[in-house]
Amino acid sequence: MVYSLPEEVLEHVFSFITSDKDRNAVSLVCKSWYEIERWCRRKVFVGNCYAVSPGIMIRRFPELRAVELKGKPHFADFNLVPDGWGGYACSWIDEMSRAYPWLEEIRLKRMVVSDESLELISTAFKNFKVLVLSSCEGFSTDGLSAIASNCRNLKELDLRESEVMDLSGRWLSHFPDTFTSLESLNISCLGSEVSFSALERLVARSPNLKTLRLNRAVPLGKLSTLLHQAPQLVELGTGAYSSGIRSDVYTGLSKAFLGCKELKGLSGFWDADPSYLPALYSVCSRLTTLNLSYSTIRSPDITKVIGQCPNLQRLWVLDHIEDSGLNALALSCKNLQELRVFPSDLYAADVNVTLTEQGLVSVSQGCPKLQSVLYFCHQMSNSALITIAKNRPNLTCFRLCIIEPRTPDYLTHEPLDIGFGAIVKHCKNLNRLSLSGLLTDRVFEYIGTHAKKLEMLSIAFAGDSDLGLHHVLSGCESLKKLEIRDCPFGDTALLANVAKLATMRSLWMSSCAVSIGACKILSQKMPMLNVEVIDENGSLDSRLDSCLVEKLYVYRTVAGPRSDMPGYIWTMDRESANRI
Amino acid sequence: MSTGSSELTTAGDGLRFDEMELTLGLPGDSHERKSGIKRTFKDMVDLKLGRFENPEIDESNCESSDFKSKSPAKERVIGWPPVRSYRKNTMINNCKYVKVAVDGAPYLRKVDLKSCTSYQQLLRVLEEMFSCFTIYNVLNEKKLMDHGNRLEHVPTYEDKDGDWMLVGDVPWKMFVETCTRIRLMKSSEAITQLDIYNAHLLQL
Repeated sequence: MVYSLPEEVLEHVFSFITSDKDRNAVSLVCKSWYEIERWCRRKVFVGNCYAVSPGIMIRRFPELRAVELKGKPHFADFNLVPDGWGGYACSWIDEMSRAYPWLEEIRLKRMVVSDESLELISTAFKNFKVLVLSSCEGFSTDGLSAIASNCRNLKELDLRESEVMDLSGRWLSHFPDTFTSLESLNISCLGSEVSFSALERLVARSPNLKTLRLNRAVPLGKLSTLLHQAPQLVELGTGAYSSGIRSDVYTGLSKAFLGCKELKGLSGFWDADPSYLPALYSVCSRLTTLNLSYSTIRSPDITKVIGQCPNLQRLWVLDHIEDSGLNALALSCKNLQELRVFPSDLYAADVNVTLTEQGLVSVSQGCPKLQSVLYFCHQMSNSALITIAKNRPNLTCFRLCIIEPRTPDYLTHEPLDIGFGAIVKHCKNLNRLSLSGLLTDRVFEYIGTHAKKLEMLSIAFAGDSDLGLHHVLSGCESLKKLEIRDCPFGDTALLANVAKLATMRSLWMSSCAVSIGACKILSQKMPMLNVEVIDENGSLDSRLDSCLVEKLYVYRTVAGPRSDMPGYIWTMDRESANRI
Repeated sequence: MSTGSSELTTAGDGLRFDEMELTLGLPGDSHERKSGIKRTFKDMVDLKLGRFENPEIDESNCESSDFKSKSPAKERVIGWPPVRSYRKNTMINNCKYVKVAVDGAPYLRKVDLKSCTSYQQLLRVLEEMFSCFTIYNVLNEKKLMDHGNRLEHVPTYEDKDGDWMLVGDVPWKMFVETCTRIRLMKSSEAITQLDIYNAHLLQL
């Protein structure tokens, strides 16, 4: 029966299937489904830009409208990946400019993008709509000028957390007066001031603007002007949230917020002055997302705001919230799904905020929908972790960072193995986990045994021996990304699990105990992997097999070794090439 | 922050922001009195600071006890704790906010010393903050020079020992380290104190 369905019908049916996983499954049913599916696939996500080449993607999917790429490994966020490593978007954008004249959306994360590439995007794709550059670098405001000038149908420009060479704020004025299609603008990472009148006019002529994230340079006194022009906003990122003592600013702001009936998300709040917080009380009851993590307001003020937000689903704060604030959160916000608590002071010898494991326990108790946690703190206990695990078996993401490495349970002075063990045992749908504190190989045994849905695992300063790594590689069936630093894991576990690495997206190991000899063996056994050794010091002697590597990045690929590696990367191919 | 009046818009009830803008000075002072009499801080500090614009000199002068008594930085592991640079750069310990008091002002301001890289930049920031002074100064620059070198405010700061020091004597980095608050002292008071001091000297 299925064979008699015409292509057009199948194509129509497939158009309702949007998830990448389902699309991939559809393409595996039979050859004709593979063919039909590839012609009607409109969006693709490439989790590692070196896993496949632009040419391969273009050959398989000739009619894409949206492409998402990720470049550098996650640990690049913490300065563990040296400059010049790679992740260049250039070749992708070049080839796509020729192959996809109707491309509408490009989303890049941790990639290096040049002004030339941005200019190419702005001219090659006539119907270009969405540009998201997340944690990218390599471009300046000149590139943004090109986007503003040329992209007539642009809907979304999101520069989140990118490092932009900020030459001036004039680029924003390049949006033509006829440009009215803007729906989302995020310039929060930019340092320099954009022309406020240009910004105001842009907002005024964008009736579909739903998301606006300003940069710190936009003064609070001007915010109400913008809000009056865009009362339909759903997501707002303020600029600096202080203005001395200005009752006129306060009144204006209060009135403006009152007019924003659709506002669901707030962020920004740099240098927040607590006396201006009540101005936004009128929107609090509708808020689902609140990001106060760039403000240094203290617990009582945070608590007052949170108390007004019963519908809060996502909260990002600094540890200034303290246990008292988290207790209040647990009482007021029964719909909370995601909590992130960042450290306010990374290097303080004395801990001057009262944020302990108790706060997290309270939230786990009081918020039945809590799924995702990122928590920086100074102390933790196994009993707290066990309580959290039992309270919240629905956790899908649990990232705990105890700031001092190898900190034991502060009550019993034991390792935190059983605590994290409880997490993986009870939270059966856990897909992301970050470990910290004092941990032995036992915790990895628990993880290998129970964490069957775990896709991403981050490990630091943990474990005793290769057995730890072996438990993870042999037990975690769904593992896609594994990143490890400063652990005594080495050759034995790696070489005992080579096949596993081909089922994962990538493995990162730095300051561990892997030797160059093992890397050579791995390269030889697994031709579908790129085994890249980072040797910044130039101290690696590849003739000495026992020599330990500083950093190792292994990923599966169908594109072969990459051609843009900097000099400090060693691979087996380079080794062979040098010998010839 | 923009100071051009064309950038100002009306508040909801029709008042113009510049009309409502709080200015610094004693109650009853009119705007006219402020114009033309003030010299910029830059001019004052220029006398002393030329030698500290060179960062090399900054480093070599860091021998004071203040610098040594700084608590030894904890051994910092690269990339730990795992906080993104983007976040680190906007975090509190990368800022050093100190109070700035201007004699005669109804309220204080705060300035982040670490956002500046030199005395010149700090003074520019302070000028912007107390822009009601400098707007008039900039317009009347030429007239200022003609009126002579009369100073309205002298920048001073309180250091870690609690002493009130003249801004500009020590290298920039040392200043950032030791400054706890800034006071823009009315020059009339400074001159009075100086006169008293000089009088004592003469008597010796």
